[in-house]
Amino acid sequence: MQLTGTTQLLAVALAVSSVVALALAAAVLVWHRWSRMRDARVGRDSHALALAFARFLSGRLDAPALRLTSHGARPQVFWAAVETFADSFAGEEWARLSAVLQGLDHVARERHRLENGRAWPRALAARHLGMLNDPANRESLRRAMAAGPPAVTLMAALALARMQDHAALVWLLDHSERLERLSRHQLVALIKRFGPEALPTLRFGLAAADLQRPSGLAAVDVLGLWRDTESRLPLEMLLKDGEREARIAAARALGSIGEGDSVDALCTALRDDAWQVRAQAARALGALAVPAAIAALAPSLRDTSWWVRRNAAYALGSLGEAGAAVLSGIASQSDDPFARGAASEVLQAIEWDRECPGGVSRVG
Amino acid sequence: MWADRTFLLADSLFGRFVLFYGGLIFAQYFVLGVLAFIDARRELRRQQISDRLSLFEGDLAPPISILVPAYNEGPTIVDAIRSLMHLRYPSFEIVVVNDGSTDHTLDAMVAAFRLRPSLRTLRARVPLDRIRGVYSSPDYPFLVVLDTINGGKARALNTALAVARHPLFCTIDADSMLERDTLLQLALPFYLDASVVVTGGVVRPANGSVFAHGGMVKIGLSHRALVRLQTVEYLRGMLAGRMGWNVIDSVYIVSGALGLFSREAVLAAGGYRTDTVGEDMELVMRLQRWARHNGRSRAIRFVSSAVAWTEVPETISTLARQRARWHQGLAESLWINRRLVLSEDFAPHHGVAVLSQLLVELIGPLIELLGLGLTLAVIASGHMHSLFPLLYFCMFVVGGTVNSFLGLALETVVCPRYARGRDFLILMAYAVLENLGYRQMTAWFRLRGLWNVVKRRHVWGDMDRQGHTAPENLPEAKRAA
Repeated sequence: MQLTGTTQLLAVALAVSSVVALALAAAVLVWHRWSRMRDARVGRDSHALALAFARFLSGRLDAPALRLTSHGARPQVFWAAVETFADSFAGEEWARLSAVLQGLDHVARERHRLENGRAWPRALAARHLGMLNDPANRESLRRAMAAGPPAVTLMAALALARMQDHAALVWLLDHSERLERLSRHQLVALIKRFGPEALPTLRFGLAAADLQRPSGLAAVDVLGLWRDTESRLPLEMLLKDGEREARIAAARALGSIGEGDSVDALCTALRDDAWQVRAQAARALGALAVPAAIAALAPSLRDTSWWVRRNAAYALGSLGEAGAAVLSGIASQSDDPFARGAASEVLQAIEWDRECPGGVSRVG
Repeated sequence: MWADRTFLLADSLFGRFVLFYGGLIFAQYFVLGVLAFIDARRELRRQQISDRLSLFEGDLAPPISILVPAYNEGPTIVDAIRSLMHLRYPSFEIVVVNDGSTDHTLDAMVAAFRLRPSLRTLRARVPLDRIRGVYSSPDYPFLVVLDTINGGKARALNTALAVARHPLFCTIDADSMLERDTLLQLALPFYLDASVVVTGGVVRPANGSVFAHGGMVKIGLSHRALVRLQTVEYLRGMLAGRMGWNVIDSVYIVSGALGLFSREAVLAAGGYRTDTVGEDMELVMRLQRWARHNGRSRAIRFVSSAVAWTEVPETISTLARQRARWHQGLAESLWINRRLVLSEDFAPHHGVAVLSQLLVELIGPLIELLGLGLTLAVIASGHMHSLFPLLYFCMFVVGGTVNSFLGLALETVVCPRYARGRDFLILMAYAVLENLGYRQMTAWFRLRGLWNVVKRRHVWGDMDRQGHTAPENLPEAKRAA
């Protein structure tokens, strides 16, 4: 590593390095400025277009003018404006706006992208098409949902759910393996998007659904969230004979439905082998608020599982004076320190709840 | 005579090794920076198609326990808890562990939130004699404060886990402020993918920003040079570096100041270890092993849109203790999880990441300082015809500057926060200055951490808390502005 004329070379190398660093710095700075300006411009333009949508809906702008304005907008601006409305309106207004926008090049381009290309553009196209209530898009979305991959399947399913396409729900329940990687929370959200009108489809689909898979269990959760009383008997059967995860979901759903007639099935579930089922059953009995559950819940405060003891204690706490009296008895007389602890915790929560209402529901 | 020997050393295999090593460090950060832009693109796409609205439906958002270990955090703890209460998330609880503070941390919380002794059953076995009291308040039913005997952060977190009720838990430092959507951003990968067990976010220096009523009023750069240097360093290492590793599913470090964990996975992996000063780092490495063993890919994610602001050291002595502790934690974590490289759990991308942690991060400071010493010796010896100093300068100084610029550029793409162009220009200047002294100084501090490992010393190192700046503490002119 020797050379002659070192000083000159050193100076040249340092100068080159400095120029490279300065050029990079300048590029970063320009990029910084440009990205700020671009974001601001998109925000401004999409806001203006969204205002045009609002004027159309209130009758202050006619359809040809709106179509012309929308046609002239850049795709990014157009879809950003549609997005501002997408989750906030439905029904007649949604149909009116969609009818004006559906013939635009922006929509045709998304339909083409949905059928061709890589996963992410197809998923985004599915999301965009789902923002408009255009029956012509349904077939393309169904094909995209079936073709996958999972990101496209999910986006197409969400779009079809928004359009209340019940055939898509049946397909999803029949092909639950396609969405296996999704969390249970998201599967529940997806099924809920089909709306309560999908209940008959969901009940029917549940009979054939694979309850070992998350989507089948999510369907059970949704029946509970929609308080579908007609599903009570099938869910009680599931609580009795299903696999562990299905029994847990059934206990939770029965609690959400809140039919007092479920009390016997849930009291029986308090003796289930799996603590998770016992814990959910105890919680569900609290939600039912049926005094007949008190006798069954009291022994659960001696359960080996913390969750069962806790849920049983809070369930007793939600059963009014009678439940509180049982808790007081356990707190003062039980020979089991865990039962005493759980009862005392809930009694204090009830006392604090009188001072500042709402506390028990936050922690129970 | 010594001058000739120095020249020969610089020209020898050793000199070439140091330069090669400098090139390796530059290349690693440059590649990570480029990968980070790929990750940023993916993140933007994910944000575009993610169905976030459903998360706000109370029944659907996975509930979260926020665990806040606190030791002598009197000046900041109340503001920190208030900032957590402002978070935009449907269902969460806050569990604070006062880990034997010797200042007024507990009293401040009791007074601010009207805390009273509370009866709580514990869901896991923990040594009860360590718990001095449990407090909560009728006004804030989602807040629990545990008062424990001092036992370190890992013990505090394990104790908090015995009280926490929810399936996900978020660990934050008591001096950190989360942005309102941070929890939402961290939870999103859990919502979208059932295989995720940990998500980590970006930690940025809060010094210089203004806070009021538990929220951030104004984001700004500190006037202290030391803080500005750390700001650049955080953007390069903690933003660009982690986003880069995220692309190849090899995130090994999730900052203790901001991480969201699956409780089930953490307990299955054994919880926090108490025999290391880098308990958060060690846990994430162990979770990588656990995820690999259980066939979960992309289980640990870095989320660049989730941001926490934390107070960084304002004095050199505090910085020295912090960096020594971090480096000690890294060394201990790598040793405890050496099976990541040497067993059947080995996966090529994991191996590359672990080797990088070992060869670049762990022993990097030693090589860098040796190179610096050799450079100074060559210059002092008058051998100006040696290329060694020039190449060393290019590798470590110019290379470091280029990578810092990449970090700054990335900030503008994924989480732009500094509104003023002037702040950005200042940071660019500090991206150059960082490599002229600061970097070498922190390398020395990190070496001291390695020495602590050799001497088997466990040094936690107190942080001198200044407290976040409130508007009334700003100079008159600034307040008026």
